[in-house]
Amino acid sequence: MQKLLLQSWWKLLGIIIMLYVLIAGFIVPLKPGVLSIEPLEIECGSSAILHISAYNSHFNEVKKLKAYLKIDSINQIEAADIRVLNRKELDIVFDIPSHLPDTSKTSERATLVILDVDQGFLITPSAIAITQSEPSNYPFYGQWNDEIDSFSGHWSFAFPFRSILYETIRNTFFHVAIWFAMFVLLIVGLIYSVKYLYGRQLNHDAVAASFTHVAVVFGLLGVATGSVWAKNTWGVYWTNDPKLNMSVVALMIYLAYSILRSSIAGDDRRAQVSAAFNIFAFAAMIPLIFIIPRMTSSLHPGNGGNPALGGEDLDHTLRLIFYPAIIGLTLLGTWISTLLYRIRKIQLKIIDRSLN
Amino acid sequence: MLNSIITLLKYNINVEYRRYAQLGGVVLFSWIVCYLIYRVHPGMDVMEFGYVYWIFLMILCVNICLRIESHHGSAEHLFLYQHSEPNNVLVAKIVFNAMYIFILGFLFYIFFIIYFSSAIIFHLEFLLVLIVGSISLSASMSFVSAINSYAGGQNTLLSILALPLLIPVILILKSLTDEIFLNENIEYLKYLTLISISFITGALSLILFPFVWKE
Repeated sequence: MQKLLLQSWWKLLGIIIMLYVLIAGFIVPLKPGVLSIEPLEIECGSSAILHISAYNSHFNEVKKLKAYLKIDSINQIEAADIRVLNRKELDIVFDIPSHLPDTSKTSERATLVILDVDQGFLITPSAIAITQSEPSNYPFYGQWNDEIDSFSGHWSFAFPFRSILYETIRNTFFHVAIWFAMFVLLIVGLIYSVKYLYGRQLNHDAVAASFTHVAVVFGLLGVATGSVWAKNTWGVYWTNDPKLNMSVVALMIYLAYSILRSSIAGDDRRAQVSAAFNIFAFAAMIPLIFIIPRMTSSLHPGNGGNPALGGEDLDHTLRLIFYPAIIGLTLLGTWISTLLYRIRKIQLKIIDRSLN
Repeated sequence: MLNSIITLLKYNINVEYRRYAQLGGVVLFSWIVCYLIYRVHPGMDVMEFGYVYWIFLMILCVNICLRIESHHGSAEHLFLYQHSEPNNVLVAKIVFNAMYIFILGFLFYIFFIIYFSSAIIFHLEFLLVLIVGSISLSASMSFVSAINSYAGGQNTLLSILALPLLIPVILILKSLTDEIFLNENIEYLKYLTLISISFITGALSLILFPFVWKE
């Protein structure tokens, strides 16, 4: 029993981590967020009533609510009045000053910030257009200078609310983590291919083949989860997007690797050619996935210069589950690969025995 | 090394010259395809030209490499093995394939100019695209076709192995072609990308080919 634990503690770890990811990833609620605002356009100098409907909110149980319209870091106004209609709906009254802070503009987009003292901020960036019917060249001072209160409540364990994404933000733990795990498996396969070319041991080739095959399956899963995610956020299963297309090209290359392996007779020959192709394919894949999509604009995060895993896209709550998910999926993938490797090793042994 | 490469290049050209019926066959094939495109869709515009031209050249490129590898049998491998270094053989093959693809691409371009003279005109810069394109196509193809010849030399296998590797190259070439024919601003970064892709694939082929070469 002790020996078993020493040998396969990482498999147990993988299972525990994946259980944690599945349970926490599906049970933890989303932070409250604004679903819709009406009207979307208001005029300077008027008293506007904004009708807000929100998701996952508890407006009727909150002790204190505050709301702000924010144009930039200096210019913002506080709401004159807030009426709570029910759990999910609010009416906010803003007395808009007679001019915008930049008086020469005809309109400016303002961010709506609702501060819920218990749960934190509900921020809708550039939600409302404030129009100015009479632009003038005179500067306009004052009236846009309310301060936003800092949030002093306790930190709640909840995923961030992002418009478009909503509940599908949980797919980060599966879609993104599967790609990461796939990369780890591919790199292991690559290392063993290089090892084979230098050492010419068939075992190394068996390791490379097993890891690469499992990585291909992970890649297919990554495409499938991404496709479902795209259906729920962008509205289609597939778009003509450089990142998507390039990842599919990379998958095609690796599927070709599997076909190449199966079409060569002779263990040594197969190992040699497929190891060389594996290295070639990996190095040809790097410009595909990392350089070309970044050169063009794309819907997918991680393109056009913006990082996928930085800034507001991945907050601390997501990180608490996302990083374990990568580790857990990598461990599971390694486990499956070692099983495949053992089958191959037995096959090699049988061939050896039949030859002698 | 350079002498050896030049000798091998001459040898390749010589072999191909003696089998000039092969080259004639490929030229005839591209003429027939061009004529067929003309009959099916006479009013082709420049955007469609980019797709048709590069996709057909990609398929032609697979065919060329397959044909060259197929008549270089194992006896020839043995001959080259005794006479030269593997990298020289590969470099000569890349240069030869690039020349072959360039000549065929140029001929195909002329066929298009003849049949679709209202839409497609002669652009000197397109020849530059063709040169860079044929080098990067050949750099990606040569190693893969060598691998294919060791794996039995089937037609479908080479397509499966090579086409995914060629897709990004073809996409960049297509957008460059559009920019040239529509007189838009040409992004010179694309040339750099093509050159760097061919550099990566060429360097990798040079590193890996010696491992595959030895029987």
